[in-house]
Amino acid sequence: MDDWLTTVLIALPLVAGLAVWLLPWSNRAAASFALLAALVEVGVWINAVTRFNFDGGLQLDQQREWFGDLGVSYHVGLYGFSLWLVGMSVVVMAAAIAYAFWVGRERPRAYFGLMLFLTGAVVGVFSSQDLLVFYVFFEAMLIPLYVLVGVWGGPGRMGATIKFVIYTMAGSLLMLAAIIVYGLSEGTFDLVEGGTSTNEWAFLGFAAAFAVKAPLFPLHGWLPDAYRESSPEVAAVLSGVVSKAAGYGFLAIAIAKFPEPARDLQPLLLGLAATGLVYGSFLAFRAPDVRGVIAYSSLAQMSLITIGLFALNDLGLNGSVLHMVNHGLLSAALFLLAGAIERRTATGDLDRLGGMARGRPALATVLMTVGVIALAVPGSSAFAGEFLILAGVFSAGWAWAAVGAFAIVLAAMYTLRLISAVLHRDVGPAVADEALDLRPAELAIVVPLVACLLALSVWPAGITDHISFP
Amino acid sequence: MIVSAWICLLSPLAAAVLITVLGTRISRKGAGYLTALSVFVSFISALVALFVLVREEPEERSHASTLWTWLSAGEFEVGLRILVDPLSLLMMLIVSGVGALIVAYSIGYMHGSDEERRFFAYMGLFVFSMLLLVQAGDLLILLAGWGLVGLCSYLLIGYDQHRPAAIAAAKKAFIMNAVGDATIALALFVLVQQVETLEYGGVFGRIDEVGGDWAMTLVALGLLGGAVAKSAQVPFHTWLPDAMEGPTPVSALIHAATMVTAGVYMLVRLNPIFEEAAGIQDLAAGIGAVTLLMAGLIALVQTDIKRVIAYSTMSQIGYMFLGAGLTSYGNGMFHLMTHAFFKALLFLAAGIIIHALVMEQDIRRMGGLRHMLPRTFAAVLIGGLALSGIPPLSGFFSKDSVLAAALDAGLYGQILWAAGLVGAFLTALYTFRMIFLVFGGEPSPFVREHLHRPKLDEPSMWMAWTVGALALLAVVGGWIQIAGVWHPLSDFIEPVAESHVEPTLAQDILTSVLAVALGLAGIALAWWLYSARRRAVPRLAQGERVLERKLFWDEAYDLAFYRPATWIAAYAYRFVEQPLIAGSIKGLTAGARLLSGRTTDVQTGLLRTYVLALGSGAALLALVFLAVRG
Repeated sequence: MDDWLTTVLIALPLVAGLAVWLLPWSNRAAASFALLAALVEVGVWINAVTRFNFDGGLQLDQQREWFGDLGVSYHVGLYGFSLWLVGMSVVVMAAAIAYAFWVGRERPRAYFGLMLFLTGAVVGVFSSQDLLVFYVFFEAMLIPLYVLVGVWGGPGRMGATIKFVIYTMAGSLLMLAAIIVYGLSEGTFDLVEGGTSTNEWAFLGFAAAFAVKAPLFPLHGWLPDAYRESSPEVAAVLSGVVSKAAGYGFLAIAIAKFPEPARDLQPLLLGLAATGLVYGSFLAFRAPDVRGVIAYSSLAQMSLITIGLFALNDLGLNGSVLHMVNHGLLSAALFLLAGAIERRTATGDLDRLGGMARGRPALATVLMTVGVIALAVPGSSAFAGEFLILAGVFSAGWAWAAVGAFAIVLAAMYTLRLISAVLHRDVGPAVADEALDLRPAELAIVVPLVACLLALSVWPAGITDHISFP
Repeated sequence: MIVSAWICLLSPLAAAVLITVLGTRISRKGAGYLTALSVFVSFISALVALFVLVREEPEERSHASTLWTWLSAGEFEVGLRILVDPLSLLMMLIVSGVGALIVAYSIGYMHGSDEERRFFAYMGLFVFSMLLLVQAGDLLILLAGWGLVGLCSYLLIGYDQHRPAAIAAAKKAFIMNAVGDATIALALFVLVQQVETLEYGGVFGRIDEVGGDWAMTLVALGLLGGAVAKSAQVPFHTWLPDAMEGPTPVSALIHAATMVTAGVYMLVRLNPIFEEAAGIQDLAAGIGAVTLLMAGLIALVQTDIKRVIAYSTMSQIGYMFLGAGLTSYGNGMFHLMTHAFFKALLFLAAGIIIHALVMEQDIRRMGGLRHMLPRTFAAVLIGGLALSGIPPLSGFFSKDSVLAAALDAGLYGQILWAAGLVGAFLTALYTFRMIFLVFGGEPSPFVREHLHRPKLDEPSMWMAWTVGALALLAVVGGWIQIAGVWHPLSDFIEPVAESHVEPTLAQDILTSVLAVALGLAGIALAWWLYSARRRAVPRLAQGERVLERKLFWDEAYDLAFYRPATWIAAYAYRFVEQPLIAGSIKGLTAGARLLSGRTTDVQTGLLRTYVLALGSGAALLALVFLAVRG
């Protein structure tokens, strides 16, 4: 097999990013070109879907010698499940870039260059089949984020960035150690050739890195600040796309390559995830601002995804993949809407918002739709994902499923609180009468995300029936 | 026939989507017409399906159709599957028939509200969801419909988005139902694990394979939790009275005629599961009896006209639970049907009164309306008499057959039968208290000042003829089945849900005589207390206050759940998130800064320091080497 398509998916945004950054574009031209590149990337992904054989294991793969002696090669390719993660990522990245285009950011060449570079790195993470290549992309994904949060963020951005760097660096170092241990003991870093390992410490190294990235309780210290201080589209990417690198890593590396340690340490991972699920839901319930609610709900939802992965059965895995796509689209849409609200009211404070539904039917309809899917109303794609996850973990222990069901009720509580606080009740002090409804451009950015969610609600089996794992 | 079932299901959804997409390009009135038409199309499609179905042999009357696989994982698969059989068809007819009338009424009622389009889009979505619930051929699709009707209920209760009371009521309804959804989901997890399918036929056929009684009991209990929450039975009932904050047609459609009876439908539809866990079935019947008494008592002191009717709905659904729980499925469904007629009638008539009195709902401020709104008075009287079970109106036939069946169900059944009879007395008492207070006596000052008689313009005509149609149904709807004489409805349902209780004619007659006598006694007492205005006589102030506070259920929930939740959230933030999670990282960053600061100090720029450091380092290394070698 030698197929260039995956490499194109990775390289296109990287090259476009470099081009945006280095060439002497005017500001507007740079932004337009970045948006165009992001949309072309979506087109390339659609092409990949049409060519994909979901019964065939690794697809569209390509391998080139790199450090032959060490068993390191440039090896990329996609499984059925990673194809959907890539698709979710390129769609969300396109929406984020479009949002930044619409809002306008300072120093656009650097900004859009980094966003495109990030896109390429994320696709690389989801498609690398060699651990060192994976590591390179994983780090390449984090570096633009440090800059995007630290330079273009809100007033508290420096503190947020330092926290983010320290946490992720610590995680990455543990992962690097685990990669080396695994690679040397297997004689290869290739994920397809390499066998399974029983080394618990290596498993824990990987698990720690992914637990920071997800994040899992209690390693989420970086999350509230990073999601609050970064610009809305970067927060959307952080919680929607980048967190899924953790889910991917759990699935493709920690579980696939360390089946025994994963089974032995299942209670530990499930315990942390269940704690995070309930804890995040409660904190979302009391968070005083829009972004706080979304941030902590993101903690809860990533915990739920982890629960599904560590159910270690078909139901849980399928549910987790479906829910990763759901959550990526959902939290991206929510953060972009939060940005739209903040632009109109200059605050995210729930006490100062309210009554925005009146005279703003588009905002109300879109936020309500996203909200009810986010709280996993039965019949929605989020419900389909959560149902599979909890039905899967039920086999591992009924108590985990009971905790999950309890958390679904909490999700209803915190989501409805958010919706009412923004849309309903009396008009809040920060909401001016002249604050506009969603503009056509904003609708054009958010509605495609919502449309994807609705399509998935009608046919979640579109993903769960078309899936393959390593 | 399957095609007409799909049309029946999808037509209201199409209307809702169309209104949403068109936005302001469709007129407000156009949205109303479109939705009413779409629900009417559903009704016609259901009728077509009925005509096909009744020509088949009874045991062949079951048709399933799957559009596509909705969800899958390994061996587990759920199809987007509908099932058309006598039970679902009966529900389809009730939902689309009563639904079409209520939507048509809304064209008049909502006239002049500034967001009619949103209202009608929600109504269309609701009818679709309710039809999905009753047509589902798979437990997960049932749960999907179950959740979606809850969502529509939330959206419509909170239709007046700026009224805090409406929003609070909407949230309460949604969260209580989310608890019910969660218990259903837990039941389904057990089923997925045990029988690996959620398709009705597959589940019913493999019930025997379920390991252990406890599993079946858990499944039934989880399902019952959902049914109790959706049907506002004790202890998950507190959301229904508050739900009256929604517009009146919503109360009629969702909170009287259709959605709240979904729990009864579930008890009947899933009867093979519930019969495997008979204790849970008895529990359902008992819950019905407790609810019907409790709601009847609380209704006695309510002052809001819609809340009186809401408590009466809870109480009547209690009868249906009682019937379905004692396996008298046909009679339970019969009462569900007649109740849909007369309760929708009462709500819609109440809506006319509220409209005429500039949205006033307090019955203490009304009075003497019988001369001013004579046709509405007639409608309420028909509804009230039907509700009180006075022959020959519909409620008489259905309520009495439920009670007679209870008499045949052993000692437990007899206890519930007695409770049901007491309930019949209470029903008549609170219903006619309301009627006498609203229509009897002389017009109150408030009425004289504020009443504006409905003009006979076009919007009002929509309200008038739909109420008339429902009044007709409330009268004749019960004649379809006369206990002991003929029972086509029960026979129709029989292939899906076979009843295990067969009351004798003597039991039927005894029940009817007692129930009617108690109903008349209730009316008489109401007249004596409220119409002759001799209310002051024996008063139980203490008891009345307890009832006015609705037996403190809201306070108990607040204390047991809501406050602990806010406390936990606050404490989790104060004692975990701030000091440990955020604090640790603060310590870490501070430590890093301190360390880097100290390291910076070393770089003095003075040659002598560096030489000193270099020299002492080399010396130290030399020492180490010597030590190691030695």
